[in-house]
Amino acid sequence: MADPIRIRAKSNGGITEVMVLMPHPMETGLGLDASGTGRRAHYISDVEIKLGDRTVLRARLSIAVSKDPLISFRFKGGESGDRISVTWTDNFGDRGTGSASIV
Amino acid sequence: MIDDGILKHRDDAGRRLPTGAEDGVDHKRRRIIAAGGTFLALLQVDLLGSVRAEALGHDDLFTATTLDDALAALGSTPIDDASVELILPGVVEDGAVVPVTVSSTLEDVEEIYVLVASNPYPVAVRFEIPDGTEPFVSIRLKLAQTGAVYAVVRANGRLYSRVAETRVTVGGCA
Repeated sequence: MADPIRIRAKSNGGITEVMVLMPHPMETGLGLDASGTGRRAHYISDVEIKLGDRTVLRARLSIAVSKDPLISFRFKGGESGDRISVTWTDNFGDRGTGSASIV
Repeated sequence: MIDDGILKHRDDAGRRLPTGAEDGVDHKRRRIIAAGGTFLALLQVDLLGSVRAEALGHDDLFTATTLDDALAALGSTPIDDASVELILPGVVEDGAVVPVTVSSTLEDVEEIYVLVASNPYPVAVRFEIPDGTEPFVSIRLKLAQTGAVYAVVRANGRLYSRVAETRVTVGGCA
């Protein structure tokens, strides 16, 4: 999980548009590798996105979400300079966090 | 009964009995133990079964293997409604990365789900939409093969849905 979460948040007329990219293999565990042995499922299961203390989106992901999950959404409020923070947890219990300012 | 079996291994002074006698008892003990094991195994299967039946919650949702089971886990059958909008490509070459956008004109949207009918586990994602967040989400999903994609929106405790079909040239579930 060396790659950082990338966040783009833009405020426009009272609505903030957010785009979050979380680098992660999102392994389904259903396929076989080159040697023909099974791979373990490894995927982000939970994502929480906050504006300061306010939760603006919570998501439960499955193996059906593509590699390096990209989520976009919109919420009311948020001003230029406010911090958006993202936390994910995967099925191994690993966590990733990142934050960015609204532009 | 079982005590008898154990006691017969030794005489009153605690010495082990000759091998012949021990063998005879051993067989009896094994039978008893085997019967007990089978009984415990049956008991366990039954317990697990009933636990699974009781836990009709969100975990069931993500482990459902058919669309019907997934919809049952959601609680009720969604009403097909034009207030839910589902945008996804009609044909994709690569099923591994399919952009899906769900939005709604409904008020008080609480949750948004995306279900992919042809995937091994149909429920792909669930979004919780807190107050102040717009009912608009976009995500990239894997589609195993050509099939229906459902957007399900929960608003005021009721479920509304929209379905669309996507043709996949190369599956995305490897």
